Amino acid sequence: MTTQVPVPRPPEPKRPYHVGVAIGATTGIFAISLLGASRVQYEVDRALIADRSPVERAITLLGTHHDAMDDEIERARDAYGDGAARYTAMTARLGELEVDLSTLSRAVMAVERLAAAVPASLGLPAIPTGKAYGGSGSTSGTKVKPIAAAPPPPAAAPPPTSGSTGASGAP
Amino acid sequence: MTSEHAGRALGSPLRLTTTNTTEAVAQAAWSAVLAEFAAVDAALSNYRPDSGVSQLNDLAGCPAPAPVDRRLYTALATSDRAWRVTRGRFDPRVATVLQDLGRVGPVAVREQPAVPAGRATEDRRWLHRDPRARAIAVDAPVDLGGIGKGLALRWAWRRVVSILPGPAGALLDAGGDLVGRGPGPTEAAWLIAIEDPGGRTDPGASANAAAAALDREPLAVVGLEVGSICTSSTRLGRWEDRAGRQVHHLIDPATGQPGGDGLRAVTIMASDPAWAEIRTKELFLAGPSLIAAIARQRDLPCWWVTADGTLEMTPRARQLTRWP
Repeated sequence: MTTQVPVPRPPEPKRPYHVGVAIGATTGIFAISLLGASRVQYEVDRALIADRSPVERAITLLGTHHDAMDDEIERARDAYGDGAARYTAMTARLGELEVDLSTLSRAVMAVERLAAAVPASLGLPAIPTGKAYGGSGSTSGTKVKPIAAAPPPPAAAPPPTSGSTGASGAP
Repeated sequence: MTSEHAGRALGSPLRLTTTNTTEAVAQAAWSAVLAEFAAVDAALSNYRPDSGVSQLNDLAGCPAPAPVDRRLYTALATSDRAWRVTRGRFDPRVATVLQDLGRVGPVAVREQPAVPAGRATEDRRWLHRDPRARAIAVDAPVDLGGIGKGLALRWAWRRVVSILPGPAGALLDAGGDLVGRGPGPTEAAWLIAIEDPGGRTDPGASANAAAAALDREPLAVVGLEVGSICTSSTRLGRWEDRAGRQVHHLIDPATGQPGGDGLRAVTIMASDPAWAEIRTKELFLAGPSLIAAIARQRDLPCWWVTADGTLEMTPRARQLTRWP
């Protein structure tokens, strides 16, 4: 009769589970911290973007306004050019008108001078009657006075004045 | 009550006539006028070596602005504006030209390089200002005879108006340039005679007959209700240059020679006496072919006497003419 003696099992090799756990734990902690850092960074970036967005809106608005102003200036420039051209044409025409008016003024003055020289009334002699007219033949012995124009009235004297404008300074 | 005070200032007769006011007020106004003209003489006279403008002329060409009196500053600033507005016809930089033509009396200025003709259209400024320091630099010596009396009238008139009561009338006459407001002695306006520059009674009268000018019949009589009336004329201010040629003081800056050929005198009525004086110079130098057009363009009452002694005027001037 034999007895079987159980063969002792070799001891199982020790597995370093703690290392794995440690690695896993540190990895997890790293991941968590990375996640935290990422969130913080994300928050910071979002805050920065939020801060900058009004500035960007303002810059965009400024650009829009600048473009609008450019258009306005261009329109104003065109309008000014049109106005200047019309003004030049009008000035030239006014210059011609002024020359014409000056000529007219001189003519008026000449007419007025002539008018001042014409006497206001003429003294006509009476019409002679008798032998000189209607009689037969002879016209001798009757003289017809020649018509003489009355002398022109004397020019009105200048009114008394309070001052005189003219050359000044020592001769 | 009509009151009259007379004297001399800036080389010309000076007279202040007032109406509707007391003698004391008239005397106060006269004192103010004398004081103002004396101050202008000290600042703007080219005939005094100690005047502000003579001292500035000594520095002509120096780039650094020098502090000046406020009257001199205003005179030069106004001259600069007049130079631009008249496109160079009014130009105070004629001191050297007048000196070269042999005019005696003003303080001698240093010789300057000849200014090329046509400078009226150049954009180059001749006046450099520092308003904060009230300092000025000029590129060339200046002669303020073309604006000095007008400015003196302007400033003196302001003082007169501040002294006179409202209903009072006054007429300030500075040797042929006048400023005033009605009423006059007999009506609402002052009647002002426009002198005959040739003299109808003696067309060949020499300059020495100037004293009898007031006895000559005027060319016209105009009514001045408020404002100023000034004349530029070649009846006085004539002399012979070194070549024996007859010249006068109204220099055309474009040519550097006496200008206004074909005209003997130009009279302007305007609200401001300084600008009236400037416009008379401008229109005189424009000549007989352009004077009517320019005067109408500026809507100026303007009378002018041509070389043959004929009086012509703008339509606005006709409205103000009382005689003939």
